[in-house]
Amino acid sequence: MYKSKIFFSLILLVLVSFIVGGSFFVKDNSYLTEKYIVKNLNYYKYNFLFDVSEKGFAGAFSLMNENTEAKMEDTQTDSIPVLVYHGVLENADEENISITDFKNQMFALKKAGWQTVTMRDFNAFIQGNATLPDKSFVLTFDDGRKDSYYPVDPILKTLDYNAVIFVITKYITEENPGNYYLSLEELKQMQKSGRWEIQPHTYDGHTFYAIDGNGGAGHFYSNRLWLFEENRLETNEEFLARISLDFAMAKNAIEEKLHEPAVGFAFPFGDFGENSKNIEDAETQVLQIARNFFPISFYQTWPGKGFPTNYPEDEFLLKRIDVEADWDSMKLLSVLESGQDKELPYNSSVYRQDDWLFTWGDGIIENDTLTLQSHAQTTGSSGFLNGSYLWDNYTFLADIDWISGLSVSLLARYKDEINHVSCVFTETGVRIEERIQNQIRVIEKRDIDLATIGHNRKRGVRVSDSMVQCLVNEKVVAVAYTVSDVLSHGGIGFKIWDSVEGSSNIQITNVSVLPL
Amino acid sequence: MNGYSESLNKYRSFVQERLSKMFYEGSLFLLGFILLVLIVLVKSKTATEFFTDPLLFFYTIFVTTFQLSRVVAAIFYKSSLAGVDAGSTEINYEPYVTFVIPCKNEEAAIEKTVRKSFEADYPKEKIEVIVINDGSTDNTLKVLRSLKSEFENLIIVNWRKNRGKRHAMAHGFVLSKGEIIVQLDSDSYIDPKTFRNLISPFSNPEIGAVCAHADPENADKNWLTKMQAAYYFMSFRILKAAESTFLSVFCCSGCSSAYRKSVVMPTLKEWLKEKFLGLPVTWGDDRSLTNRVLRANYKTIYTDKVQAYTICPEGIKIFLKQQTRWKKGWFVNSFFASKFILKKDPFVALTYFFPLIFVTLATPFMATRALIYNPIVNKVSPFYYIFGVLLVAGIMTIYYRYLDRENKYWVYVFAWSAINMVILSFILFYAIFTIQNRKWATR
Repeated sequence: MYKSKIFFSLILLVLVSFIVGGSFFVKDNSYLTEKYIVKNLNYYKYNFLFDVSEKGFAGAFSLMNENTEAKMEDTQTDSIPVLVYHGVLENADEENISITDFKNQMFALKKAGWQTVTMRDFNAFIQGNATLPDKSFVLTFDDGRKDSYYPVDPILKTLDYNAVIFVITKYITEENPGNYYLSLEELKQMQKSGRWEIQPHTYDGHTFYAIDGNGGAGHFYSNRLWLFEENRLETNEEFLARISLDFAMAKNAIEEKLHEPAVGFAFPFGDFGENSKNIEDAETQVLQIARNFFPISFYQTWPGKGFPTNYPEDEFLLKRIDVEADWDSMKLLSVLESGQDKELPYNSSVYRQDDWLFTWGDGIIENDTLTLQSHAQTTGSSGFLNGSYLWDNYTFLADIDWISGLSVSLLARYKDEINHVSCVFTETGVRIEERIQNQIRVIEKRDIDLATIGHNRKRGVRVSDSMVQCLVNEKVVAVAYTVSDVLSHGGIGFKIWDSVEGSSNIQITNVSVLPL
Repeated sequence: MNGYSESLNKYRSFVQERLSKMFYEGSLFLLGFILLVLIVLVKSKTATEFFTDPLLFFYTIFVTTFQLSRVVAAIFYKSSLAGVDAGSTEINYEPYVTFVIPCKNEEAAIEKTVRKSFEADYPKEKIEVIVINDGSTDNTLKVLRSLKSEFENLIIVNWRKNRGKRHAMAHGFVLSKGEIIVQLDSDSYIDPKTFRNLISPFSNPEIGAVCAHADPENADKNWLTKMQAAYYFMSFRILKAAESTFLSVFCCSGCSSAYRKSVVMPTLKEWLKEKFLGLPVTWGDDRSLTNRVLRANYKTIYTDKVQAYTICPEGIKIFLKQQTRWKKGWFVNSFFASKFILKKDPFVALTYFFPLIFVTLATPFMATRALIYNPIVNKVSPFYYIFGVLLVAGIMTIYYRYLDRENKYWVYVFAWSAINMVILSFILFYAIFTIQNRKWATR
């Protein structure tokens, strides 16, 4: 009896220890999970699917291993696009793409010769310390969610791609990541695979915070927050101290917990101070502080910010293309290809979607016409040619059907909406403007009687070092110098204007750019 | 030469048999270990919520450990039974035995029950059978009368009006001459060859009651009876055996158990008049009687060496009524036993009795939470809960298969677990709510 009681108790004790100890061991082990197993099984699925899509169904089963060594691009790239995703779900929603679309996108990119580069290589490229092959891009995911890793990783493994994940570091230092965010163990597992780099997104700045006492809310990094206890807004010094601390904690978490250098910081919501509601020069201040902690940082770009890819001259704040949930593989490929640097001479009478990016009003691309028109809320419209950023000395000519509007401008040395030169054609003359950091300077103005030259539709602009010429029907009608050094190179674009909303419209049938 | 090859063949088949057994038991052990690892995997799901919901984690570990502890305790059953035999103080123990069989309208079954009782492998002059005909309206009495001519030691007590099972039993106990009273249901009987094993444990003076192993005779009737067959085997050979390991079986089942008369008699009156919330208790007579034996500081055991057969309900309605009655009996007697068990046997009280009460009462709530509340409110799939329940059933089944390779009903353990999860555990609450309904309601 006593023996039985003792043995019974001992066995029970061992059993409980086994179950409790085991379940805690399993809980903290990122490999003994259903998700991990499914992920690894999916790798074989994708591997097979990719083989089938490349070599056909029979080819996928062929034992002969054809030499499909990636054709190394000899040419080097001048710019690198960075893509940003969030989660990858079974079915897409507003922010997150579906797994099918994502898979198709990545397969399409791989087949078109695109290859991922690491954050370190990208940084070296930006700093001018490294060159990278053509068709390089960076794949990034924001927030450090489980559904950025498990569905994606087998696809990366299949395609020999790698990715960067920007994590909210409080979930790896103190707060329970729950079932939504990746745990430290999982991040280590990702790191170990060699396919993932873990970079900081924020420590705790990923939600909206009160910026006044009346329920107003704003972003963490771009606003002075409301201190409820003291019933006041924090001071600028407190604001700077707060964001410094957050940057430091995010950086430290990555470096201490994951032993990975914090190279790039992705601003939550892509807001680096631009959307500030209560600080005047938030952008300058925020970027200045952030520079103390990270070599580079990222935000999600839009056409108004100019060319969507990154060049070695962009030093600190870099652009990411937010891949929208409804983009299919063709769309993504088109976006990336349009962003590749275009060669001179350039001649286009057939327009490709995504080659032109529109920053204002409406832009419509049909096969042989590019239409710019203002809409009900704008007095004009503008757009620029993607991939033309590096052009320096050239003649830009366009056949324009000027349907309505007071002025038509040809833009050159275009860097973005606030840095470019332009020839502004009106009914009565032409003027040359230089726009630097949004400061417009008219450097030449000529009255022309269009009738004497002939009412031809061909207009142009020629830029050569510091000289700007405006052309009508290939004849120079105005010349000016003193183009600032800032605009030593840049692409081409159009802009139209009228004093009344919705009443300007041009149709462009042929664009040609000749090197000088 | 011939003798040599013969013995070689014998030796070969012996080795083969041993190897096959080893392989079989080895596979079961391996399978059990795999299930245990799977249980750990399921529990780790709860462990992830340990910091937000530690109580849930403790609960699930507690319940699982409790359920597994039954198997662990059952493993020691055989050695415990050997201990009982070793405590015997009399050699050639052959006391006078009285069968007490209450019956009502059992014309079809009673003859077999009586006949098998007299056929018992035991000195005929030391057997008497008392049948209490409790107001039968069929030919039961006629059948009994015809048997009387054959068996001298058959005593028939005929009541015109039905007075209830408990009264009938008590009356039989009072009339009995035997030192040991074997209580049988009218549709149950004990395999005569094994009968002696029911009496022999009483040679140990500490033993107050012995419960036989019962299986349903009508097991192959339909899925319900097959499921009950699996449940009977599990509840006798594992759960009762586990209780028996520590010599405290809380229910020597009414279908076939033996009592030491000297232990029962002093408590008979009180047992007969048992009341709960002011009304007489009409069910759970067996459990109630066993508890009184325990309270009198005697040991109660289960023996797998006696094979009894009984009839189990073949229709769902009667089955559920029987379950309800058993749950009521369990509920009422849990109150009764809780008053003395801690003092009598703290080990059993703390490792089994009180945990069982907690688990039984909590299960319906946790099942509701996992199967209904969580899926609807929190959108949490009940998969892990169900999987966990089936895993524990799996461990039970493996031990079941180990104990009796020939028993073919083992698959139904899973059916039982599933039904227990969604229906039977809830019946407890129905039973508690209708506790004031004292009707017997199976006959």
